Amino acid sequence: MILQDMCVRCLVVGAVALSCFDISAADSDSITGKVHQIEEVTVTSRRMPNKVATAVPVQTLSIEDMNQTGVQSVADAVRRFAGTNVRDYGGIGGLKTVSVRNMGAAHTAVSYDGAPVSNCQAGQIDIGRFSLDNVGMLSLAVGQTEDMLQSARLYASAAVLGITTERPHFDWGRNASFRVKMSGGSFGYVSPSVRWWQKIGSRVTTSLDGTFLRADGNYPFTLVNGKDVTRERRNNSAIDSWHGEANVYYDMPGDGDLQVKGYYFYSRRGLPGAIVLYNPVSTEQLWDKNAFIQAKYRKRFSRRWELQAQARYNYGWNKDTEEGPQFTGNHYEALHKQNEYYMSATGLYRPLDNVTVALAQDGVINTLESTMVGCPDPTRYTSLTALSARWQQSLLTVNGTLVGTYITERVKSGDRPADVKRLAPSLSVSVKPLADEMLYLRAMYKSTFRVPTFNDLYYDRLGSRVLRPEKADEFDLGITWSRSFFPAMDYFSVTVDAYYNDVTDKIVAFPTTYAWRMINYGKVRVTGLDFTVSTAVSLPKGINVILNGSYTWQKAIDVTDKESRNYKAQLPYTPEHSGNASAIIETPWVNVGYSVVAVGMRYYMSENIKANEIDGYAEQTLTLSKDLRLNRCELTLRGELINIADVQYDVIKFYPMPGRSWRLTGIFKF
Amino acid sequence: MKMRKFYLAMAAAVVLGGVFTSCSSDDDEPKWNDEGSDISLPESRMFILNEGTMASNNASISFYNPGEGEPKFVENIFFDQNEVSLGDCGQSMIKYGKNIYVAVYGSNYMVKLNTACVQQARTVFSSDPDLMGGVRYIAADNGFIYASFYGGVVAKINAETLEVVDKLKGLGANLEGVAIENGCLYVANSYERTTDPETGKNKYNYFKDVFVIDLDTFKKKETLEVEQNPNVLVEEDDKLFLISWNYGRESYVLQMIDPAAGNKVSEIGYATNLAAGNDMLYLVDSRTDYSVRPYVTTNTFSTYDIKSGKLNNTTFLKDAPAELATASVYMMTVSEYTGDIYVGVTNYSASNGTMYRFKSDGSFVGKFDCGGQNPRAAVFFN
Repeated sequence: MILQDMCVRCLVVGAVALSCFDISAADSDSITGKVHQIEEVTVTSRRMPNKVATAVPVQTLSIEDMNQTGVQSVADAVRRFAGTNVRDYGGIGGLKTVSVRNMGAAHTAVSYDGAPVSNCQAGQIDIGRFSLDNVGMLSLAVGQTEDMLQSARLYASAAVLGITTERPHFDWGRNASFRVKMSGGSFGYVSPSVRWWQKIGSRVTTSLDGTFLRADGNYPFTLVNGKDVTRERRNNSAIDSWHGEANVYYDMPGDGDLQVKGYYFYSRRGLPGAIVLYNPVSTEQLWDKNAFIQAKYRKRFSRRWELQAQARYNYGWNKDTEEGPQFTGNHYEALHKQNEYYMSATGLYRPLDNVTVALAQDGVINTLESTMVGCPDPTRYTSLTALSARWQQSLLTVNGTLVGTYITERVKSGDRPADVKRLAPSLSVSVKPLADEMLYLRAMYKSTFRVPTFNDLYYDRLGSRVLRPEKADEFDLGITWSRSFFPAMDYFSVTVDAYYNDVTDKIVAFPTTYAWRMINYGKVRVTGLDFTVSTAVSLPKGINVILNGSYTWQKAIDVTDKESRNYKAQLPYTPEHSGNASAIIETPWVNVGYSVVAVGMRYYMSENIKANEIDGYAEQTLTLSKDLRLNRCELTLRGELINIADVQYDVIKFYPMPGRSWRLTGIFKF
Repeated sequence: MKMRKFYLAMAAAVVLGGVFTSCSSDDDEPKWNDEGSDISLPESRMFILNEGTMASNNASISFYNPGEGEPKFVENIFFDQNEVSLGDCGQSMIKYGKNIYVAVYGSNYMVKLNTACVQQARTVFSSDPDLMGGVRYIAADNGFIYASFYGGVVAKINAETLEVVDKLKGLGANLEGVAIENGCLYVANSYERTTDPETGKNKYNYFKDVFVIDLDTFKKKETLEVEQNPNVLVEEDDKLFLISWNYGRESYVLQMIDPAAGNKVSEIGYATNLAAGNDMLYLVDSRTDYSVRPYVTTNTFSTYDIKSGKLNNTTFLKDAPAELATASVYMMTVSEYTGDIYVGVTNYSASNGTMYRFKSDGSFVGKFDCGGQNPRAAVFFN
């Protein structure tokens, strides 16, 4: 029993704690340029729809829309993208991971200003830790983004969640711009933040951001245990965190761009764990520190040649503690340190006007030092090479990519895993059948894989050093259409994507007597449909209406073993139906936003039986905001009422989510 | 649907039960204490404790009828009778007198049930700092329940009221199996998790201790040296049988402690699970081959004749379904009434466990779904 207990516990702790690790970020790629343009358009003109012309599904959310619909966090935003599945362990400090089209969180890359964020220990990225404070836009691309001047690691991912920070811009001929923000809300939530943008000369701008966040997080929830219905509090959920970021942007003479970013994050949070009936004891604490520095250089040499180079050093540290007589000296502590040294260069060449080729080369060194039992302190050397080509004709675009991966690992004790040498292709096509209609047909195939994490390989007794990568194949067929039906309509756009994925050689814990061990065994088949619709209408008297909706149908089944009771059973935490809708009404007096996120019934365990069901839910949020202009200053006041109907729901079983709550925010820009 | 049929059967059973009750003589003392039961149960009863999956609050007790009458099976009878969940991680279940006692590790409490699984009393340990490590195994003697805890504590609990009347602290680290023989409680001291001063890494220290506690004085009398990481302890025919989970050996090690010979410890062989009954130990040795994909576990069944002290390496199962040879055996038990042997197999959190039933001669009777995950223990009435 112990060992199984320990393994289960370690898995849970591993997933919750260890994965809350290491982010690394870098500054941006050519997206920055594009985003900047979009921003200008947003500011000066009207809204833009989701991209319809892309050969792969790309969904975006701007910070304006997030603010106006009461989006609380990056995770809250991401669950509004069609085809995503956010695992949220509840509360501000709870782990939040995103799986796209059910391939598993480790297949989703997260990029911070265009540079991939990594966590070699747990594989999945905790998106709960990213602040929305300095974010300009979030995007979710299935496959890779359209931009060819990106790193090889992003080319190698099954899906990319892109977090793009806001680049300084100056109004009224200013050289400096300041923002002070104060936000407060239910459960002891207080978050002040400051921002300073400075122009130095004509070519250099800098930005400095600082955010502090604290919350008691001890929200009430209703616990239903048969006939006993009690009102409880989520204790041991307090969080303190600091986030600071400094950027220098140098607009170099001759169409070059250099960005240097420094980032620091610290948090201390209680991990309340699952609700355990009759036992409220919860003492686990998690400390995180993450710092990185990175530089990115971009240069456009000519109409035909462009280059991007990035370098980053990332340091991640965390400490997990727990108290109780079951631990020697009443105290348990685990420490994990990860380093990442990352270099990437991408060259882009246009030999012909309608042909573009790009070659990206990344080199990465990852290290882990951990107090985990038996951890051999591995060092992983990764080389990723991506060769991509695009052929573009007036009505047809074809993209092809081939990614080569070589990974070799060194360990201080025991056997080292075999080297990974793989090639993975992808192909996407976009057709515009009618010259004067914004109607596109798109098709995509992408082959990717995720390598075993350090936990998969080295976790005491659970890990296996002979694991191979887990393979994913994605197929997508979509139609997108956008047009305006009358002059006041900015756009009306619809996207429909049908998809099929299979994940093979899936790395799973395989039960044996008393102990589990990781193995390449699982096989998953995912069939789904993502549908999005959006429209914006500009009415007289400065009234704008923006409506968005999305719906996902998904069948993700386990096809590992025909003899198994769970053969073809829907995977845990996969609703067949989910969707969301939002409405924003902008008026000169006040802006009103309403949103609803709805998720159908799911199972919380593999076996599709009644006892394992979790009820569906719908969470609604209402936002009121008002912008005031005082001379050359701007004051925004915003109030949010989250979960208006006070719906009690779990995303992860026994990790209850907060009921109705509120948040007030004041932003002063000068 | 299956469930509807089941409820109909249950309703019919309640009606029939009512008829039988009204016909029975008032002079006879009832054989079982079924007070407060919403379900009329037959005379033959087997209650199965399903451990569930950690942090999922899905521990449960299922009812199985090994004899005649209805109902044949009630899934999660604990919930049906008490209208609350059993909790998280059902660890240990024993029968004492006309009561069932269940220790629930994750929820860290103990509950006393009558013979129809209706709650009589409960005691929560999580508010006591000494007992916060979690309850593991229980044994009963002379009006008291003795419970082992992680954190090196044995608690003495009044079997009637479930009041903790005494605690013996500082007994090693994480305690596991308990068994009582000749006025002494035998407790396995398994392991601790600590830091290696040389490497700074966490590590497990495995202990080689079985503590012997004199129940008259409730003091430690002796510490026996056994194979490292002792876990399961069972008493049968005035002897104690122990399985140590020594990961360094080729499999888990089966030992015997003989109180009549001054608590002499002797090694019998390898076993990963055992059941005692019919003056025999029924053994299984499960070994996993990690060199094949997927991993294959092979079970070898054998018996140990306690009276003669002979190990018989031929299987005691005659016509067992083929899948049992490679399944993960999570428990074995023997009915003290019929001598039937039950082998509980786990599918971990993937699906409910399966119980295989054999007659004492090893012939296969049948198999059934355990109604919950990870079947851990069972008790019988008749």
